[in-house]
Amino acid sequence: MNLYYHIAKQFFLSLNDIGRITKKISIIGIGLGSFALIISISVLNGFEQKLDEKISNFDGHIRISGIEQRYDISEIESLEGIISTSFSLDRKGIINHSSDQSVVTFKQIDYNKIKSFYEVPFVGNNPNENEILIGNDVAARLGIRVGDEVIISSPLDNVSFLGFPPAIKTKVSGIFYSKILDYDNKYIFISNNIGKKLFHNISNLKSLDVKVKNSFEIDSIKKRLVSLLGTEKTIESWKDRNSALVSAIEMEKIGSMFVLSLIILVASFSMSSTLSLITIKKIKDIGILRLLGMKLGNIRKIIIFQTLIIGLKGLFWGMVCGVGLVSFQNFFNIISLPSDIYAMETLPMILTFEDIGVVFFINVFIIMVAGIFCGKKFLKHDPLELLKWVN
Amino acid sequence: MGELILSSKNLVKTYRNGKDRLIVLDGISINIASGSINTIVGESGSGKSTLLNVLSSLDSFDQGDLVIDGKDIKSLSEEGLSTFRNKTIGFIFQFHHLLPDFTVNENILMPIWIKSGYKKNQESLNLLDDFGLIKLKDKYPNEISGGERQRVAIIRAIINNPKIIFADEPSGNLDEKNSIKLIDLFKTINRDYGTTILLTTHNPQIASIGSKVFELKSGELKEK
Repeated sequence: MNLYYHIAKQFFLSLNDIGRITKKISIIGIGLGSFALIISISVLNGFEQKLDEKISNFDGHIRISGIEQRYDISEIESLEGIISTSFSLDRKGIINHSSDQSVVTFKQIDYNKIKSFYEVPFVGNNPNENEILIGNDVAARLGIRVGDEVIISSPLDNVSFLGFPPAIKTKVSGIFYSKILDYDNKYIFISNNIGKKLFHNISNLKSLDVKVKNSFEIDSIKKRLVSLLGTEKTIESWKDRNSALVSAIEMEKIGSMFVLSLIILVASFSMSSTLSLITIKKIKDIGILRLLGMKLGNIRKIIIFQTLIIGLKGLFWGMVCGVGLVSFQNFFNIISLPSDIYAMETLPMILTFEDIGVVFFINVFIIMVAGIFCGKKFLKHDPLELLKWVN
Repeated sequence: MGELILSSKNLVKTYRNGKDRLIVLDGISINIASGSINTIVGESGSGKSTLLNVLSSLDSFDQGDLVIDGKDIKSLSEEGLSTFRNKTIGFIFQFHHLLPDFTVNENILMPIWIKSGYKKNQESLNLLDDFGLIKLKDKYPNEISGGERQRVAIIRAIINNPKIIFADEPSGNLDEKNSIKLIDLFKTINRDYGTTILLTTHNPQIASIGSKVFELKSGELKEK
């Protein structure tokens, strides 16, 4: 055991009832702060992860634009970390039902990959090459139900010599509900067969959706794709395409970390008063230690150890409770969410070692600063003054 | 006179009281031989404690020179002074100044721990045994008598084999029986360990143990 730790620990023994209560309040405060930080970070991580899953199920993690279907993608598919790819084409168009119409985005894909790559939940039947899947909000807006016939057209790509875009009559085989962003309100999945008729001017699908095994590797895989394909192709991750949303999440994460750190800061004030109480009570003892030849720096170590004893105890329990709740939620899903609002049934919570490290260092930093400031005030006196203080 | 352990020349110590300047020590020059017992006597308020504090490097002085064990005290930094005190000087006060949250054994070991780190050491137990206090080793200061506390403080003062011990009115809080025990202890330490002892007292019986007795009067020190 370290001498300064031993002395710091022994000094706590002389605390009176008020001192003990203040010490406990400090521990609880720091514990609550770390608990709140852990929970907040894990919830934001969870939502980000869910968003990642849902968007990647729609557009893939990475989209390579300007790459035609005839392009040999074997090199891309062989890159480590990539699990699947799918060509697609997004074009604006119009859907008509009864007398209503709406501007939508047609997403032309290979229907063979509708379940393997695009894991979008839908009601209805698997579409055949002449059928379409439409977003829930589009269906609701136009009053479309599964099995209804609709007319779709793409005025941008296929205008007749009379100026009217030819229309294709098709059947709605299913209605999907992704509940992310405004996808349900604008997207319609169409087959290659329908796409060929609709986008007469476009012979090939123009972009490649890429799914990766681990979403943490998106940036590194993107870099490898850039070095493989060069800068002629536009390579964007879902985060690049939704940068405003991602920035908002990041800002929220930083904001909540900052705000919740204030709990720890306030708790550290309480801790400082506890430490001041101990130091004043023990000022004669500090004088004796100085008399016996203990250096100022080592007296400071004692105060730092006292700070750490309180702070780390609070931090430990806060983290144990926080990590415990996250694990409990992940195993038993005790906290549920209204699925019609959040597009998920239970509160997602994800915690990484990196997050735990961040919480740990924020806490230790605040605790140490509190300890250093607390000790500084009492260290300027020489041993005789400290002894006389009491005498 | 043998080798000098302490030498001061024209030490002056003053206290400010508003615009007035009170001279407490007025050109104190003293030479202490290594291995000797020296006592300083004087009336209450004559400045004995201030002199001892200055000579033991605990208090500053305005003028003069002070050399302890060949070290010019003025040249030492705060950190250097701490190390010097730990290794070279032992302190004993009228009040025992033991650490209340530590056992007798831990109190005695504290100077060694400060010097060499926190580890097991038999030295304290040997000394407690030598001085017949071994049964107190696990007791806390509030569990032992005043005389025992003072003797424990003395053992703590010698644990690092200091060259010199400064004792300020060590028997001030003790009855006659315990004062006699204390005198014997100082003699034993001086004889067995060769430690130089400089103590202040107003007790003539204790003052008589000194090979040299100094008297402090009106800020000046004279050998009796």
